[in-house]
Amino acid sequence: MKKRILALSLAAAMVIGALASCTKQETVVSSAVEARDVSLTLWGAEADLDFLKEVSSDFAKTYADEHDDVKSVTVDVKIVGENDSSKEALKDINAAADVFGVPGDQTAQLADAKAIYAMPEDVVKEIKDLVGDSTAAKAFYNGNYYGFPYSPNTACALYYNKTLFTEDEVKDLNVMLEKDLGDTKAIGVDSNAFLSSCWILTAGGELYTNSNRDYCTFDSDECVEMMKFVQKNAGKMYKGSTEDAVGLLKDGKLAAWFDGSWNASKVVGALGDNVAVTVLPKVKVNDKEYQMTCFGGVKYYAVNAASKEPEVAIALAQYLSSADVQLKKYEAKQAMNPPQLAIPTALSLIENDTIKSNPAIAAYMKQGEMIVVQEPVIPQDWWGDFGALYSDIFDGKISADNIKAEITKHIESWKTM
Amino acid sequence: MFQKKDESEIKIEDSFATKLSFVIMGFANLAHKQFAKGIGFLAIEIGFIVFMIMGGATNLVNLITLGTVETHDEVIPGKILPVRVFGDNSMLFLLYGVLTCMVIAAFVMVWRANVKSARQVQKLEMQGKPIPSFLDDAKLYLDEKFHITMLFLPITGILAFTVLPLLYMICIAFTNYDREHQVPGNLFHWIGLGNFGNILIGDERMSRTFFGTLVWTIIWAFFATFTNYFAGIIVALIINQKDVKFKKLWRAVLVLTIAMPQFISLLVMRCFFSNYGVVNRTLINMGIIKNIDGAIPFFEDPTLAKITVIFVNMWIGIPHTMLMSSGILMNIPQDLYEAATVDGANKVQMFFKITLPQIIFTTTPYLIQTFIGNINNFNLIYLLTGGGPVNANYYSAGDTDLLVTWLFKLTSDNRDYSLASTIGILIFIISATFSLLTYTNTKSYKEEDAFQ
Amino acid sequence: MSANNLTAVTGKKTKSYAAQKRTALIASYVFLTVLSIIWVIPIIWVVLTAFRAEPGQFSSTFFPHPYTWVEGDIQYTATYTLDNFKELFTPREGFDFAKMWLNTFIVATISCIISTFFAVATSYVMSRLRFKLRKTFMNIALVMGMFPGFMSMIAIYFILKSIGIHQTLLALVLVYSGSAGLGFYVCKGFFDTVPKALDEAAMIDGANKAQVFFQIILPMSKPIIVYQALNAFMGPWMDFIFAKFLMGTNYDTYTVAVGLYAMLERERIYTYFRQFAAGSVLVAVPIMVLFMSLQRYYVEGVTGGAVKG
Repeated sequence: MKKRILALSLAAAMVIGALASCTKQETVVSSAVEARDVSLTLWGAEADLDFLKEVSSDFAKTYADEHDDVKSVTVDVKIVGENDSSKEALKDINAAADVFGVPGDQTAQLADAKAIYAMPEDVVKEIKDLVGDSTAAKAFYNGNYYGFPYSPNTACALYYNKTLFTEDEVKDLNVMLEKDLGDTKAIGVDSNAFLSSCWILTAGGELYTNSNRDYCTFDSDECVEMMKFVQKNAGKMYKGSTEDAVGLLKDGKLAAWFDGSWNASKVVGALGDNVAVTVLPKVKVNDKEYQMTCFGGVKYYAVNAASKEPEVAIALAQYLSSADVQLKKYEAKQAMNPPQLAIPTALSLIENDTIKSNPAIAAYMKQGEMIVVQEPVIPQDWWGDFGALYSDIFDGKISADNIKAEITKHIESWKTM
Repeated sequence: MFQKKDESEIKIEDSFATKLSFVIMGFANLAHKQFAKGIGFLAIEIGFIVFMIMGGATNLVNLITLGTVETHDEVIPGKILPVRVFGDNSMLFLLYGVLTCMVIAAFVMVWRANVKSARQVQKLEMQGKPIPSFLDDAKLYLDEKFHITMLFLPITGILAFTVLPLLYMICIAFTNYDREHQVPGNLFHWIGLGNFGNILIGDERMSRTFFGTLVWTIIWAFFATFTNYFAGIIVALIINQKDVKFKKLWRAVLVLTIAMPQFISLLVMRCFFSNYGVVNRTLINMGIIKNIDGAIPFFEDPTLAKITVIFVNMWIGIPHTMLMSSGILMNIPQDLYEAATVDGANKVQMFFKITLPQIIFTTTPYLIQTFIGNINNFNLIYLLTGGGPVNANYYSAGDTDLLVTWLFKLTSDNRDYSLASTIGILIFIISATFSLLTYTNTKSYKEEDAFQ
Repeated sequence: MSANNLTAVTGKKTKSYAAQKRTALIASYVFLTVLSIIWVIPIIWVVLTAFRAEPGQFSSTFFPHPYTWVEGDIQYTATYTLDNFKELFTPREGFDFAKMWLNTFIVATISCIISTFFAVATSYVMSRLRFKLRKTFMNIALVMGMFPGFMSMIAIYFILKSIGIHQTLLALVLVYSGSAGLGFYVCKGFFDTVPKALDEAAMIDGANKAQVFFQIILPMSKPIIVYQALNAFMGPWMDFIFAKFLMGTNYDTYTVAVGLYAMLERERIYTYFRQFAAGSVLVAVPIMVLFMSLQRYYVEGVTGGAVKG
């Protein structure tokens, strides 16, 4: 009798099944003989929503005017932040937007799943003209360029307390560390691998260079010496989360903090009037001087491979990342309350007077020039693993003599991640 | 049961109508004027055949191949972009294949019910008994077969929202659906037991993570369950002392926390216990700790982090057990205690002989459910520590990661679905064995009729 | 020993017993006070944050400082403010708190009714009716609940999508209540304690099983119904993973948990943390009120009908 229940309930499931089989995948068909109506979806962060709506409607008008085969264009802007977009797109590519902003480190995932289009050659040339070879390369993976960089993804900068350090002092880490600040820590770096890797990158360490998964030089002598330097000076430094650092900065217990632009409002809020922003300092280890650097990437507009109108989508992505629109975005963000910072990527804007007048942007852009391009093939596991390794070294759980061996051991495991 | 079978199936030879019912469902019912039933069976059969033709059969083939057409780009002259033609989606093939299998299983059951029903009417006819009308049948479902009526919808829900996804997930464990074989652009295939081998023996780091996390998961579930349980009972005992006033107020204060969504209270707890959080900051301000170097690493030291999560869990869980045991305490008949006092028992003896057994007996099902809930206590770990501190010897896991949070990381960050499913199955086997063994051995299971 | 002596001894004994009791009572009060403080501090902190003027996630002290800000040309100074609530209720695209609240309320109410019915029906059947496969079903149900739910999210998403309801409130109702039949354990415990003699008496009077259930058992099951209903009602207010996953970009169907959780993103937490706290308070209040007023039933539900002395 129990079986009857099962039977009947499964019959209900059958209806679902029948419907399920009806939903077949749609293939892209494009036959543009008559003028057609084009509708696109665009994903962007909530903070950019109004701006994106404005510029994409500008785009819609212009595009329809310029193309005979297109009667009208409508762009629907939806909120899916850059950090969520790749997850959301891979969940269901047919439901994803035609154009969406993604951080460069997601390129490998999206490209491997064939979810986004590689840019054709002449478009690549235009991208390079706009943002320069090195920025364009941040959306490069496996022989292809995947999109239009419109902003540095992870603009990092050094925030410091003007009452504790002078402008000159923050140019040299050795000076910062030697200054007597009592209980106050001289500099803080998050243990998060994205930021804490700055030391080893400064010493010239390379990881997965050119998407070669076996390549890593983190155990070179320079890198090891650098980590020894960090360990030796750990007492004057702070390693922790932004949340804790914000408290320390506020209470004057931490003089400088290295962090990404995504945390800018928190850090600036904590330091209040005492805040100043600059690039990472120089550091001298064993008589060798380095300019400190860190990982970086870009956010770029990618074009959904399941888009029904890939050509219009490419045009939209291109329009959104053009120098004019970048400048507009910068201005729109500055006009917000409280003002936000939109850092442009277009080379032509570096010389723009409006941009030049903002010192913070200068710091970000300068730091941007110094960054080490983060390879898109870095697997998600790596970040946690390196963070743990860094913490162990910082805390002295790995003795100075063992640092090299430990790093080598980890490099071996990174090869198979 | 055997006798019944003898009567209905062996002695009577199937009549023509019954035999025809094997093929045309509901025929016998229709022949005997059970129209509603007959049409119902027939409709299900037609529906099933249509379903199989419309896509069911293809779904089955697809389930076996998991897709053959690769995604490729087609160059169209005059266009700046080649058009991407997506191939088969292995993931959907698998899902719809599983669904189709369930539909077929359902159909087989309906078919059997149909045969049974046909034999039944045949038998009734031969015995000269009246054939039940639709109304008679319906009445049966309010009485003898009332359990079917009651369970129909709940079971449908379970099948759709638990069983189907579950089967899908189990299937994934036998495929190579990992980050190198991501849909929609790539196909994945059946690979057999490879993933299990990998986790348990193959990859050293992987198995270290698995067993390390497993041990911690069990320790955690044990402590999280029993600390809450006994602490809750103790708090309830204290509140329920005869002389304690404002009983309602004390209870209400604790109950406040139940109403606060967990992701909020856990976030607050994270702020409180972080390196420079409220607790450490207060200690520094009071001079107990000199500076940030001396801060208690609540979440950063592996052992301490484990203790912290158990304590925070007590904050979350004690109100529940307190409420529950309060109820039980209030309801234990006072004469039991009076009798015990007359017999010269002291308070401690009374607690262990009367109070505790009563509480344990009543709450066993709750206890088991909590234990299982704790094995899968995703929210607490994910929101509080995120699994951290990260363990450099583990594969993508931290010291406080439970199997379930590790699994979440594998799917959401690394997209290693097959690996995650494999771990899911292993968690399942462990917790299922454990809870079945425990549950079937409890007093309340064995003596479930004792009260009645 | 003289009679006098004896009185003296007992007298002393009683006195020391009374003193002991007093000490125990004081200790109990101290313990309860400390406990209450520990339990209430985080909640007070959330409430204070909801009314705090100073932005950001942290305030370096437990009680907020006065905060000065400039709006237009006017300078304001305040420690507490209602602005957080005001802003919370100012709808913007992708975030309409009133609508989210209403959505959650609707979903919670409907799924609460459905899942209570499912759970009560299943547990009654398991407790009272005897049929083949009963124990098998109970064992399967026990282990079924152990599968980590989020693993099946993608499957459920595509199932719902295939019938075209994946971005609707109906989908959420189905997801929250669909498997409620599995959670019958506590409820079954309750029915196990209701004397079977009641059923038998009614059956002798000619009632069928459905009548027994609806007319006799159900009316006296208020405690367990309340227990189930409360638990089911709370679910939708707290789930931020499933709801977000299913709803995607369809803001109209967001629930409060989705909206609140989105405020915690690293770029937004500084600006939105106070509003987050304000929203949390508004979520917690109705649940708290429900809980407080129905506490008695909740407790009875979980402890069963028979233990009532």
